[in-house]
Amino acid sequence: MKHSKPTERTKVKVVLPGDTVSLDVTTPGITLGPGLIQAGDSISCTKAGFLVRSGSIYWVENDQKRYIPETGEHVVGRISGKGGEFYRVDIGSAHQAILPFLAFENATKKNRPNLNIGDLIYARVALANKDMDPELQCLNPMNNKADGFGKLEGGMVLKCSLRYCQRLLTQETDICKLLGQVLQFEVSIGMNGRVWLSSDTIKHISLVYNVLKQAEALNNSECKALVNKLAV
Amino acid sequence: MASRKRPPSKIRTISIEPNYVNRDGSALFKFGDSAVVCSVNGPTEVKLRDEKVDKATIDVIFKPLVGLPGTKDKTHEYIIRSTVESVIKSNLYPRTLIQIVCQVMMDDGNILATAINATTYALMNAGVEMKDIAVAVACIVNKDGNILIDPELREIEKAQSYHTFAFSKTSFGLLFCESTGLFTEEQYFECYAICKIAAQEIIDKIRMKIQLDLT
Amino acid sequence: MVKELELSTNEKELIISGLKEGIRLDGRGIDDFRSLKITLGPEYGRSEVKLGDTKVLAKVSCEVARPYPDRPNEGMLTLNTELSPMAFAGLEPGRPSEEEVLVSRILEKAIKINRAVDVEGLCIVANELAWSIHVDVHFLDNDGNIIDAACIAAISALSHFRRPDVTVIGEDVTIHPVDQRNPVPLSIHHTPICVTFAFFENGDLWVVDPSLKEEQIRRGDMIIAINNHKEICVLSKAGGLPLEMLTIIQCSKLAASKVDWVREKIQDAIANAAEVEKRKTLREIIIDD
Repeated sequence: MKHSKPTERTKVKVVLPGDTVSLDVTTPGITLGPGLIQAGDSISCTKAGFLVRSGSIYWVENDQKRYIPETGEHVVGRISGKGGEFYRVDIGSAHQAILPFLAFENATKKNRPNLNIGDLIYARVALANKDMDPELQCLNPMNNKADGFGKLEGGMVLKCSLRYCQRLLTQETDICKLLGQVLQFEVSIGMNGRVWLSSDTIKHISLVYNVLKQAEALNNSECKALVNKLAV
Repeated sequence: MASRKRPPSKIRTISIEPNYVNRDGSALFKFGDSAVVCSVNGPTEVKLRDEKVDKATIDVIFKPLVGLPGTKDKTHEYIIRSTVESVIKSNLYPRTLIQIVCQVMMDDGNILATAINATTYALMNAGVEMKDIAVAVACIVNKDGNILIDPELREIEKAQSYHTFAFSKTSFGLLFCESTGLFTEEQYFECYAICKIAAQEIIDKIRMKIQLDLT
Repeated sequence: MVKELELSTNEKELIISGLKEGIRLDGRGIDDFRSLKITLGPEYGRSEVKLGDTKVLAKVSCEVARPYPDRPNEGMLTLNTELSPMAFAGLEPGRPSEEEVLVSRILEKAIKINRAVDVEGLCIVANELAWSIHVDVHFLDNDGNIIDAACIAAISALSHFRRPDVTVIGEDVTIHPVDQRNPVPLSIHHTPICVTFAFFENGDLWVVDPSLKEEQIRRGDMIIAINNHKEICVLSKAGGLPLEMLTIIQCSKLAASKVDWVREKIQDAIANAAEVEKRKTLREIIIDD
């Protein structure tokens, strides 16, 4: 999946729930992201973390692990059941997600996807709001093609914080690049705190799993040191 | 009885350890030798019979260090739940469960306030959206009429009255208070004032810790 | 088991394939325990055990009570191993789950029924007064093998515990407060330590100290408790796939060496705690001067 590097991201300050943010609410174009809410004339925080801005978008960053589904995000899920015309998928959110049989490339009423309970998939959140079970799709809505979504074969799943997944996806952390210089592996990064990874041998898969797990708490120079130790 | 080694209005050393267990959010909070671990799981799946259509179901379990949970622990559960229900934005998580478990690790007095503070930190650690945070502290009025804040067990055993207060960070409004024993109105308001000042200190400590962990 | 913690087919296949090559996900050997950290204190009888990411807290307390009428010369020992939703998400408090019953039974067999603690020594006045020892085991975090961790916590807590000293002169019973006379340790006959094995496929693949993921795909398990006299106190193989006699004997030999390793760790922890206690008393003496 192609992802462009976001515009310059600056940390403003540490905030706690209930703190007010001194921004002029009348300034047009200000967008409030997760963790911020407008109450009348003031903006207050609902999460503890770093208040971050990128352009005129503000949000609060923290290290939470629990996923709240958002439309458009890509997730790694596990088929947990089969309903009438859909699969039930566990994506780590409060409610199991729904993946309709028709939400696959070239799917028709006669041509059903062949997934079983326990299979891993990479999907896109088609619809999410707090009152309904989230809905997934295994195709790109722009061109109705699979585009990398669908069943994930073999490999292993790493569970981590949502923020780490973001850092992996935007390559804010160099660990994937550094590790890729030592051995071949592939990853599918879900915004739901789940990263699917695979390599050629079991030993390598286990290695990639443990390295990515450790690298969550490391900065780029520490990542470099970790990978250098492996190459030896 | 050995006299207290610190001034009457000084709370013990606060120590906070986030991510103490592997849950959505958790924290160990200590006032000196009183320690409580709180774990928060959620928003997660809720049983149909407990489901609320428009908001999250908040469940609190309080486990004492010694013995099976009794009525006192059930009271603590009710108090913690009421306190956090007023600050958690539960309407953002309808038909879900936010499960909070408090386990006493060490008991040297002021346990309820320790538990409330641990819960507050664990909720922030889990990223549960709240409109404010609750901080709590207790004090006693001893036989000489002196007010001692953040009492140890041996001080509580010989106290005339024991008061626990929980405040909200932003408005410093009183979220919860519980008093036992014999006391005058004057003493009560003095306790309230002293605890309010201590609450600010706790908030500062929490803010410092969050800052430290994120950098 | 909550839906979120269930394993995908991919993960199950990987773990089994790994075991066939002798590889475990966290890099240890099939006969390796995870890192074990035991912290005793600050009060007597408090033990915090970390076995990998599995965390257990045990607290021993005592009170004076009337002995049971059918055992007038003995004190009492009770174990409380209630599971908590902190370690077990989705647990309904109040109703003991299958796992809770199993943990409770194994620990009772190993520690209580096997008379690890000398209960006759807990009697103060026959038929009238005796010490009742309570061991509360709290499960904080579950990453597999809570039984071994709980056993280590309970045994180390009991070894570290001190009860108030008692003087009996004729009819007069004096229980000395701990600040007047040093409390005394419990009389412990032997210290059983549990070692859990998990079996996979048709019994050819096995591991020691299974992690949570390994527990989820195991086809059978066996728990062996061995004490410091090299005696097997408990051998529990409840259901699961059938095992060869040879496997059981091999496992018990391995368990014996593992138990030695664990016992060493407990001794180190007790020595550390004593060191800390000594330094604290010295500090207090200096300050009070």
